[in-house]
Amino acid sequence: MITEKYTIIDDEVSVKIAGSAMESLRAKRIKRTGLRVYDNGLIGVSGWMGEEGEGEALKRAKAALAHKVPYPCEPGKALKREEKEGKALFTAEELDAEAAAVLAALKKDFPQFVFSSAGIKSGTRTVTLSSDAGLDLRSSVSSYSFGLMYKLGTSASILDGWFGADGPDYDRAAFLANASEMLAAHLKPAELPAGVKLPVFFEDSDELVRMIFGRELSGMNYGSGGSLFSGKAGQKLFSEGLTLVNGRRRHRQPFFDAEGTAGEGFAYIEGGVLKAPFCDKKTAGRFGFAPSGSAHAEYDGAPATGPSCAEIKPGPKTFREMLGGQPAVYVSIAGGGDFTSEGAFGTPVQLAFLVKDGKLAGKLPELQLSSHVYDMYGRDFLGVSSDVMTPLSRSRWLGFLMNVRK
Amino acid sequence: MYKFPEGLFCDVRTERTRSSLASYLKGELRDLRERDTAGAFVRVYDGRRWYYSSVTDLAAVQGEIDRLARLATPDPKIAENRTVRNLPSGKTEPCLVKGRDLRSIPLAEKNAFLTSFFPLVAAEPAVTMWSCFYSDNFTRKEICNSKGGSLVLERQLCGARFNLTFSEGGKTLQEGANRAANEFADLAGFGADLKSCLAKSLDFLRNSKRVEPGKYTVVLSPLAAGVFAHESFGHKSEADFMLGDEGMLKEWALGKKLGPEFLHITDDGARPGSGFTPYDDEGSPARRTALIKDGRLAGRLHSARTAAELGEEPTGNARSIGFEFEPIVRMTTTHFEPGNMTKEELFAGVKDGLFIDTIKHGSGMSTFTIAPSLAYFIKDGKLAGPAQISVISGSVFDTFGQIDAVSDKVELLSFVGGGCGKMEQHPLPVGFGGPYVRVRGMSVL
Repeated sequence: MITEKYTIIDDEVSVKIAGSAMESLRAKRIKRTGLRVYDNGLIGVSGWMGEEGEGEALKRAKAALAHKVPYPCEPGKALKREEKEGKALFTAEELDAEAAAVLAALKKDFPQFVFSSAGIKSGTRTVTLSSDAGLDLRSSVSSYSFGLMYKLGTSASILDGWFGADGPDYDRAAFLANASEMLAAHLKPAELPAGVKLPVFFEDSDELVRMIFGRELSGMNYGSGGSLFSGKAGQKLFSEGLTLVNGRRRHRQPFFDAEGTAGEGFAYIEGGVLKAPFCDKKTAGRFGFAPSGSAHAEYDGAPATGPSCAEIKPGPKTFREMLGGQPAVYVSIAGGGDFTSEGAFGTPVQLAFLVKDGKLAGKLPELQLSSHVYDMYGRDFLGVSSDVMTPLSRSRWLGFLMNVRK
Repeated sequence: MYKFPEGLFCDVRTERTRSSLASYLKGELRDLRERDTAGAFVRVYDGRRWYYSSVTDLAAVQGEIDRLARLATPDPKIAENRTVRNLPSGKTEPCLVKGRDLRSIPLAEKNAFLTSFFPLVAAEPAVTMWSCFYSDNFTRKEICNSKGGSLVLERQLCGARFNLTFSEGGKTLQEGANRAANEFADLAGFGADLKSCLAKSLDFLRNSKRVEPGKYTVVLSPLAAGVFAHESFGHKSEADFMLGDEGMLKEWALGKKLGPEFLHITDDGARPGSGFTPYDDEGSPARRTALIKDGRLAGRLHSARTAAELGEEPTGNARSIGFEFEPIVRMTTTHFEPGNMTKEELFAGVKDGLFIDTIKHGSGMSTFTIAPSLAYFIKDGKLAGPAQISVISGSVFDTFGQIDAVSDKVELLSFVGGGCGKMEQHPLPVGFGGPYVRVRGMSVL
């Protein structure tokens, strides 16, 4: 029998702004711990919140073996590694003061807008996975997000747009410069460039345009034949410029997954060739795949395939080089779109900007976009920029040629 | 009992939850467990700012009250503050679960309920992948505040969900069946739901045709109408979006005409189901709030604070997803009220249109969207085969005026495994549903 302990500690402070006024300050520290026991190909799990509860949880976890939940895999063992990522940039008081200062500056320069927070937080997530078989993995990821939503005072909408920062560092002047570029562009109506098919850019972290991979490359779906891509491993389905890998660090996840597999860089698609789906150990074993470091588990639950944490590898060109002097569309907010089961894509765009010379040049009318997964990531794939979108951002520009209409 | 600081409002919400889960992937057991959690959320208000803390150590609550109080600026006149006046005082009668307590049902019985449906799914060869779960939770909340307000509230919800992937002849489809209820016995109809889902999905997989993008008359099922009401209008009725926002208040002024006279939308926390919220997380009682009545804006959803700011009454809509979060203004069960014709008459009035039966997801800003799952062509008032649609969308401001028929029976639906998202708080259980709703000129992709 192997006993494994999985601990997740969230330390977080957050500030809320509503109606251009400071509203609240919140602090929380939540510790969750799970104990897993593995015996004869079975797993039993139980957990607790807070500091006390290990003895009872161990009894419950052992008793849960009677449920006969299969785990025909080798639990992680004899591996020790610790990583710390990022730094805690703000205390509660510092975050509060910074939010107040940024709000005051924005209200002064852009009094026509109403601001509210879309996540102003700073904190650290500490995850450990250890066992009596010698597994000892420790991850500490500190990060912040400084997001603001805005709307014109005359607007009847809940929000008109948003901007934010979540990079490794923070600088007020750089944050306000980015905000000013977007707010100024929002006030300047722009015309959609001529043509049906236009270069359209998203943040490379935008789930809307990548959700098809999360759905169709899930190991169980793929292995069972239910995926659009089932049975196509080894085939060149997409543009040579598309390489899709496990990017746990980019997603600010621990370097190991819930089973202790370190999957950073695991290739799902390489040079346009479909390589492998994402999966946990159990799914991998069932279909003969390699575990991709994509297992997820609740603190007191059995591991299963979780999100792919996929990241598209940046290309060699900067955003300006990708534009080649041509105007383009930047999609800031597109909610509600989807891919059909056959791969067709459609979405309304609630907020888009015209981009000229690499800068936001004006606000476009609401748009409709359409394409198909094999076009978007095939002949119409423009790639991911080598540079980040703003000095405080982790995101890069992800571009496609797409059918655009008002 | 807690010692509350002078010159400040303070409340403590303690939550103890027992939840159960049985989860399977293609018939293989993945998880079977019960979980007990406890935690508290502490709020301190000085009349200008709120200070919050969330803890899992219930013995630490008094320390957190004291710590937050040190951050705040006491106001000797805090009791006269409009927000504080809106918060409950005095002891409220406990609101307890009256039916069969979910905690008393053995995990094995819940698991057996779920596995009883396996033969139905396993017998269909086109179902190449499937997962399912049974989940429930029983929560006991105790809310007490510095005004002497106290409340004990119990709430429970159980449900089952099957996620099915169909594959045949190179085509795939993902669809599912989902039902929730406050009583375990009320899940009894789930087998019929699942059978219907299987039959409709196979028909869709084999016979669906792509819709030509354009403008169509669209009939929304009770599910789709519920999501439409929630996404297109419900969020705009949440008053926290209006604080400090003259434009929003002007545009959404009560009494404003939005649609035809037979159009009524209501939010009601007292409705059984996944949106059941007899008291909110500030301890305010649920109200049946008419949001649209006779086609005109009639009301808004409030917390104590937003009601105070806008000079209206609290509506019992301050909700959180759990003890880690503060209550914010949320919907409960939001739905269209019965309308002006029968379902048959409503369909008969469509010469060339689309029927949205089930959906994958919806969203709503100035433009609302619904991504349909199962949808059908309508020709001369009759269903004319399954239709593949990426998304339907429309302007929130225009679409209510394009509703020209609402059927006369309301069907409310409850779900597990998802819910409403607002800011960082997701998922919050809410109720959906309504009658059938017909809308002219919707944009279809």
